[in-house]
Amino acid sequence: MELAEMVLLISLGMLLPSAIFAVMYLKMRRPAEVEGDKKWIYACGEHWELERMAVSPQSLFWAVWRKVFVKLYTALIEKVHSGVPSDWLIYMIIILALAVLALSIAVTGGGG
Amino acid sequence: MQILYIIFQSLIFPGLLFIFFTALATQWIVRKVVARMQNRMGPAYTGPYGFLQPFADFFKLMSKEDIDVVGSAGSAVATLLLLALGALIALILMIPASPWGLYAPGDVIIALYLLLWPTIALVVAGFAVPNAFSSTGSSRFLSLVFAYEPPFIMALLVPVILATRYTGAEYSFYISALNSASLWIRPGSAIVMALALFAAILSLQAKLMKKPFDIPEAEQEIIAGIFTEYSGPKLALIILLHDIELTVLSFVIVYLFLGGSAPLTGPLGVIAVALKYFIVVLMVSWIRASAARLRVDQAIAILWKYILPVAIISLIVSFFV
Repeated sequence: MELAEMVLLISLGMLLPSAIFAVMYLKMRRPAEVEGDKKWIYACGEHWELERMAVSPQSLFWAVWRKVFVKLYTALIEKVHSGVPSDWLIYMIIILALAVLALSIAVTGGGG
Repeated sequence: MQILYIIFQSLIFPGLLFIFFTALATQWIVRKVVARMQNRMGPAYTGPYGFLQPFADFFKLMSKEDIDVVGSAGSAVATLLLLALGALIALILMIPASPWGLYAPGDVIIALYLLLWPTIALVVAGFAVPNAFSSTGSSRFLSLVFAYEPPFIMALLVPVILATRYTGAEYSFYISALNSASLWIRPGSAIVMALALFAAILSLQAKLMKKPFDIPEAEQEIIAGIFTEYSGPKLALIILLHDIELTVLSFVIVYLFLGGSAPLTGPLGVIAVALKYFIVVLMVSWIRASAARLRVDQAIAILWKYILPVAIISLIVSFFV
């Protein structure tokens, strides 16, 4: 079997169960009827406005990341901030995806 | 005809139906084992020995109101969770638990891709609600991802590389898993496999957010972390994703590291697989029940100082032994 053919078959194998779960999810759930407090963000009993809920980038990084990536993010946020509170996540996912891709290509010799 | 096989495999065995029941049964095993280790009873009332409790929990949550808090992206999260569930079920088709082999040269890259889906879904779930606890949980999990994902991937690549060198598996996940038992015969490759297995089990613990790596959902500190704002059907999907991740990755370890059904064949082989699977789940539960929670910097330090070097060494040595 060729790799491209396998990608198609695995995609089918991924989407079919997802579709079944989606049907289960849509058919079994009850549409939300609640209003008020139940739809508000949990803040240990306090009422916070949405603007206060966002965590600053400086608080989102821990240990080594705090020193390494906050600097990069602070530089980037000025230029490419999209307004989404977590747009730095996209950079992280892209970096991770590239790392996995590079590692996999290095091992398989370009898909083999 | 091949399409029909794929449809049967993905929906019945070893796909959706089989994995769904195995995952919820595994949740019962984990809850019972952890409870007994902590001198509690665990699930006891629904079904014999409380066996049906995870099923009752799942269907109860699924039938509840689907509440999205203000400012959240509920539909996007549900879609990602559903796709992540599908990705894990697709991954099970790539190991010899599947009766019809689905493989191609270099298909390990597809397996690595599928492995990332649950991680991405959970991280996005945390960031999709404007809650400080969720964002903090997600950022902690993402920090852990960078610490556990490299050793986990490297550990998984070790049997694939060894199988390719010794048996001509051509970097195929399925063929490597089929030949993994033979990798324990040679002393050199056996040592490398043992090191990789060690790295894989401990990285798995972090990937599943189990103690001591459960800081992303440290309940005494950040409520439920990533899952703080989720209830009802979405919480049911998140819990199911956790259970299916444990099940599928345990099967991956059983087949890729522990030789699958070897040394038995036929119906007895099924017993061997079940026994090995139970041992892996027991190890995960045992570590979870007996370890204390690490701070995120401590968790990253342990993963980078001890687990990553072991994974790197085993990966490099696997090219030479």
